[in-house]
Amino acid sequence: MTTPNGEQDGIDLKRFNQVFFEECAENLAEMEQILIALGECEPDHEQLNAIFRAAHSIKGGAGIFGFDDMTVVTHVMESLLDLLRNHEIPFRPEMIDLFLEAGDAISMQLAGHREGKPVCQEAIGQVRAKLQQLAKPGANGSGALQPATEQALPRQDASPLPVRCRLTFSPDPEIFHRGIRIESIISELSELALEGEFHCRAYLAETPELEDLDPLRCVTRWEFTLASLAGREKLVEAFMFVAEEEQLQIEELPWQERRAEAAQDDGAPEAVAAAPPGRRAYDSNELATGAFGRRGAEAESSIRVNVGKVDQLVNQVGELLITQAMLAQTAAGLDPILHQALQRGLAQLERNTRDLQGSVMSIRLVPISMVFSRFPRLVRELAGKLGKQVEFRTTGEGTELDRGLIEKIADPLTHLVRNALDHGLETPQARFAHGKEPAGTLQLRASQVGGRIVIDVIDDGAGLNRGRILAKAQERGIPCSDSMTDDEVWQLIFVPGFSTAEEVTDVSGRGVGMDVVLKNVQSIGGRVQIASEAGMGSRFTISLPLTLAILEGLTVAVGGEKFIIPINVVIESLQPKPDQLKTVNGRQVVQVRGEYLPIIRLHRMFNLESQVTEPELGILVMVEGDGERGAILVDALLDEQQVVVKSIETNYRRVEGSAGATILGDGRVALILDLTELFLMHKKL
Amino acid sequence: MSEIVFVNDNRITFQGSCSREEAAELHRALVCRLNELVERKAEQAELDLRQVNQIDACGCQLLALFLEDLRRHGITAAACHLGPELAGQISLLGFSETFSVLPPL
Repeated sequence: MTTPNGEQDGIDLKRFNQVFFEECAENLAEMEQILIALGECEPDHEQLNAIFRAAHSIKGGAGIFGFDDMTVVTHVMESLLDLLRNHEIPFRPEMIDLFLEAGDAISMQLAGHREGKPVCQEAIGQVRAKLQQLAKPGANGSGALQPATEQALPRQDASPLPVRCRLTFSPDPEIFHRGIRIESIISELSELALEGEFHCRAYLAETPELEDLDPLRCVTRWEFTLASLAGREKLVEAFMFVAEEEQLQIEELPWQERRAEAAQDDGAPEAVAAAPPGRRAYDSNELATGAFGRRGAEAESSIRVNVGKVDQLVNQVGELLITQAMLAQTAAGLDPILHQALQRGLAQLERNTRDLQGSVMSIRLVPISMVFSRFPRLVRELAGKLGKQVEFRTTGEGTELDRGLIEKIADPLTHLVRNALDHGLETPQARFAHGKEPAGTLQLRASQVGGRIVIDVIDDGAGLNRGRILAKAQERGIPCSDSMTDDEVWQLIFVPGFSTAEEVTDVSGRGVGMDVVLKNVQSIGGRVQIASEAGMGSRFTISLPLTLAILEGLTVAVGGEKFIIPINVVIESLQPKPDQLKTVNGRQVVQVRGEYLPIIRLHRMFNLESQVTEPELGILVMVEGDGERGAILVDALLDEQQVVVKSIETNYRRVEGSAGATILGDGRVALILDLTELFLMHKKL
Repeated sequence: MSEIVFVNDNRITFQGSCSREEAAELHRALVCRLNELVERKAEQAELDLRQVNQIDACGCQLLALFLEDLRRHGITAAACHLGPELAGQISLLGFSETFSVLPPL
């Protein structure tokens, strides 16, 4: 019985389905990448094979895991691809769009199973019908699309030498519990065999008392003897998702043995005479490395690990760092001569823990290509919609950043790309009139600069229009003046509700966006900078920290407690002179270079007894966040260090004004300040 | 899956589906019939599958284990009356030998 949570007879099927979902998403992404790269060009044989393999792998996995609806589109798609591969129908550019549409349909079904999202069956049916239509005689001047399974014998121009082999499959005893349909695998394998050349024998590896047996425990082993034109990889591929390397053995057989076995088989009981279904013709030519082959190769160099486990490892390394810092602090009070060996050991421990930290953090890093890969299609479709010609380029796709950041940067980047296409790049006519190439260039560039990741969105369009931005700002009542520098003017576009678009389109121009872009980027410790030149183009630069789990912080003391101020919000620190301190509307401010900044007294906000209650007796740390500036009053600046971010809510409760906590070298807990909240708290006081 | 029971009959008849989804129910029925046949010291038994319209690897394994258990207790056991589709499926799944189909008693 399956519960809504995917639990089947006490086993959580989600865990197993997840593998399929991930593989399916990878296959869809690979397929889309190839299709987008094609543009309008005809795919070569290898590209068609690659698309075919992706569709075939999705179909195979879906069948095995019981997601039968996902096999519908993939089946027609692979049949059409097969006709194309064999030059039975001519290539037509609209096929690219249709294959992309089919990919979307499969993605929708995947999301339906994975996240419970609604699936539009009408759209699925339409895609299927379109795929079938393209394969009809009238559409291509060739034979009607036949279901691949109905095609009889392998083509003679495929692999001319069949391989005869014996496969022994010793499945995981939990395979029935996992809901895997072995019959689908066997059926697929039989379809790979030459007609009449498939023999399967099941035997019980153990025969427990029936009464004691868990009815879903698999104790059967299978032995298959078959002759096939498909390569070894293709045979192994049939066991994709279900067989570990050690559970599947393949042995090539000489042909003499085949004859001997055939003679033996002739005496098999008549009532259960084998009736293997016809095999698919296209499989005969599927010798290139398939999805499973890729898995196999990857398995040697990578493993798939649950993110939760990696996070746990990161946490544990964080604890180790704290312990190491505690030891170092304790040892600092010891005589270095008397405890020389101990000091050496601790220094070595520090190096090792830092190295370990680096290695563990790198596990969480993923290439930014995971985000970049979605843009070629977006650009293609939007450019078509807007009637613009765009050459899209990406560089630095291998640049890695924290997985958590990857998820959060996708939306802001999408917005910047859409804006560049809609507002930045001109129409071919306009570009031509300005002496430019009709096709504009849009570039996404990622690189690591120091401890940060920098992502540029660059276009060679019209650039930001200073006059229009200022006029719009005045119209909206946003404070501005003609004397503002370009950089200051560009910052106006981040004001909520600001838009210079003359017409609201479904691409962009609703005036809700750039402020959200900035807010989202800032929420992950990032910054956005703009450079623009009229007629030449614009560059939006997003700068992000490498990770969210470790933070560079300034340790400060307030009333016997320690706090961490994230270093990326700190501008400077100073001890104010009495004449710098003023009172405005009953609130004390500090004047720094002509600017009045509110003074945020931490001891008041956190109810601490402090000797330092007046700014001239302590230190003011100038900070900036969310476009606001302020001065935090602290007793002393202690240290600048990397701290491991811990959730205070998980371990204690939410503390207003803090973004988390960390454990310091002396074992004490220090709050990490959240500037946005501090500003809000200050206004309420 | 449902079982048709005949008192003191050596024939065990199932109908409908013998699949993973019915494994628990099928297992209970098979254990019950096994105990009864052993207790009664039956010499032979046959598994009548003519009314079974669907079977999968899990169902095949359970039936195969049932037949093996009967044989271990000295009871000659085999499956019979398989329709062509079911026979094809059992053959495809490799259980033909284990089921050692017999002519009707």
